[in-house]
Amino acid sequence: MAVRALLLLALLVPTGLRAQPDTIPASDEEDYSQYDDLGFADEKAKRFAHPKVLDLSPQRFVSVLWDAQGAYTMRSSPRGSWPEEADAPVAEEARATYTGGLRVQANIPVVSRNSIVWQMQANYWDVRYRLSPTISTDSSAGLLRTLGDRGLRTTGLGTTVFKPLGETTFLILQASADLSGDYFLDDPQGLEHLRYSGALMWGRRPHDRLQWGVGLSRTYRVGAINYIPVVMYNYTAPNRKWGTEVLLPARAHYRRTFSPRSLLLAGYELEGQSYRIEGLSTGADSFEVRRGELRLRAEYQRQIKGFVWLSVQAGYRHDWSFNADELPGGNEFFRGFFGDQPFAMLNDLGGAPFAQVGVHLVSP
Amino acid sequence: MRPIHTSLFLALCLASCGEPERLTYRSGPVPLVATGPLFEGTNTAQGTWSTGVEAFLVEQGHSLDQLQGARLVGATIAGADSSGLQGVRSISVQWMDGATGMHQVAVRNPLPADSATVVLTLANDQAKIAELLRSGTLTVVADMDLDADSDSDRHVIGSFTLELTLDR
Amino acid sequence: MRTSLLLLTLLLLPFNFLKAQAPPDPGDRLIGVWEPSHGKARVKIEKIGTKYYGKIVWLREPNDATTGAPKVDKNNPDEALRSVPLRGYRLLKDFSYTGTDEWAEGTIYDPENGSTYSCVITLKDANTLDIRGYIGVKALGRTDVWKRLQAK
Repeated sequence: MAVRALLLLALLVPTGLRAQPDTIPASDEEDYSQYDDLGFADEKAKRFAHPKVLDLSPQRFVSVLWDAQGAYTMRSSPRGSWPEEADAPVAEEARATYTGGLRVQANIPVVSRNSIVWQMQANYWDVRYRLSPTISTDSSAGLLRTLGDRGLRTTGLGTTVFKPLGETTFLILQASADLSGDYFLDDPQGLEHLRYSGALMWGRRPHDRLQWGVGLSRTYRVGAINYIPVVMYNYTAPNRKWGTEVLLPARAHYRRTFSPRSLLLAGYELEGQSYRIEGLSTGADSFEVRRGELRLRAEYQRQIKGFVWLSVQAGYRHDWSFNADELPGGNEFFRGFFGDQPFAMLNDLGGAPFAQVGVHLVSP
Repeated sequence: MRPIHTSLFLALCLASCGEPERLTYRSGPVPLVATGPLFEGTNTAQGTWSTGVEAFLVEQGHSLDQLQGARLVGATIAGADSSGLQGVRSISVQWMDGATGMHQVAVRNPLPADSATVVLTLANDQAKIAELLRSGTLTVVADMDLDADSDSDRHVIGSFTLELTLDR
Repeated sequence: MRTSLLLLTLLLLPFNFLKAQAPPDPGDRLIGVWEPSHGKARVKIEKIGTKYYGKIVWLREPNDATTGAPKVDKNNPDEALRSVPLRGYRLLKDFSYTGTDEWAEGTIYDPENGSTYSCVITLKDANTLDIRGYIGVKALGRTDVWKRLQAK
């Protein structure tokens, strides 16, 4: 009888096991404390600093933005050789009733591993001016009229490499090449007018809510080329309600996190490039407007659906620089903060409120 | 047929044909077991549920093909013996089948102390419920957070109430 | 004696039978405990039916910093599910082995922001996984490298 029972049992056991195809293994019931004391199976494996900290505003794969400024007055001097502080006469004056345009940006990861993250960026910014009326007292100037007719464009490619050196230290290398001027896409200016920027930064990420770094950059952020130290400080408070997103001197923002799907940034950003004006450039020389803007702003970002986010920004645009240089042979020169090289044209833009709205596809 | 009668006929048609029919379906008890030994922390109880939805629809004069949508409108978990749900800190319930995958349908965290039966909070997102029901047999997974180790199995019973929407 | 032998044979038979019936599934190489690059959690991947699922079994910071209570899925877009405990949470779901060291058709959930992404898992070597979460097309994604853990 016992043998029969065992025979029956032996036949039933495998059947029973097969009868439940969607079952969780019995090993699921487990002592969670066993996971406290584990190590890498591959002894050579290392942990690396993560490229982000908690609650940073989401990284954007693709962005389409529209930027518009309120009315302000533009003045430009005659062409000449003007020290920055000179009291140059006004050759052109106009009221800009509209300044704005489309911005399209893409940021695509090429390599994304624990030991290195490499991303490529592409961007296209368009700025159109509606000027009314343009008062010209010097026909040799013509900058404002050109801006009204043609606007300004920037097309660029960039790359960023995040290289962790260990669990808490990292390097960031960033480089970009931009073509800026009054060209149109169907008739772009020559690649010899590309302007190169870059930065190298060393940083630490002591915990999940803080990442800081220091480095050096070559930048056109305030219009003309400059070499300046950079400081990064991305922080999230322990209560996860607020933090900072800072990359001095380019931008600094206070961040208020409402939820993982909505946040507010408040702070400033410096924007700028050196724009070649074709019609005012003669021969190999390049006439370039050193456009630098300080934008004091607040930006609200929120998820629309899934990975599509909306951003709405408003603030005040202060003219940091709109002066122009004549580059003999198109060769860039360094003025920095203390250089006294004269400008080819002194321009002045009034401040203006601005608004920007964008739709973004954000990264995992 | 006079025009007024035609309109009346169309109106009745729209009223009777346009509105989907709703039926309430209550599952029988669905036994779930977490096989011991169990440890302090999350342990998984599971069971296979032959939903019986198809037979129910046939009984009501419908077919499974008419099942347009379904919502889980009630879910409870009860202890299967006198200990009730003693020592259970939270319960999270998922349904799964091979084709549709796993979907979280309900949760209760924390459980009132020494409960015998708890009513679960239902997921708002129930887009996959009808698809899961069409498969006929589901695996019900209940992740239970226990406050102590135990050598023996833990038996609980799930009960589900569904609102079925049918094409006429 | 004969009875004992018969008993032993009968007891062993089903297990030998099972072994003979089930050659090791190459997809099962995914099974184990893994650590994402951020190191904040450990994830146990197991097989349920023919698919693979990964749940959080360890959190570096198991309790919420403000409430002191065990962490819950507070960022879930479905408000009704925000009380689900994070420890034990299945964040990898429904992966099927497609051959060539790849598991696909699954999803990964990020409890930090409550987003669920399409995901493909690639076994780079026995102890390394590439976990690529993506949006629509694989090019729009980010890869995280997970390392296998074992008892020290």
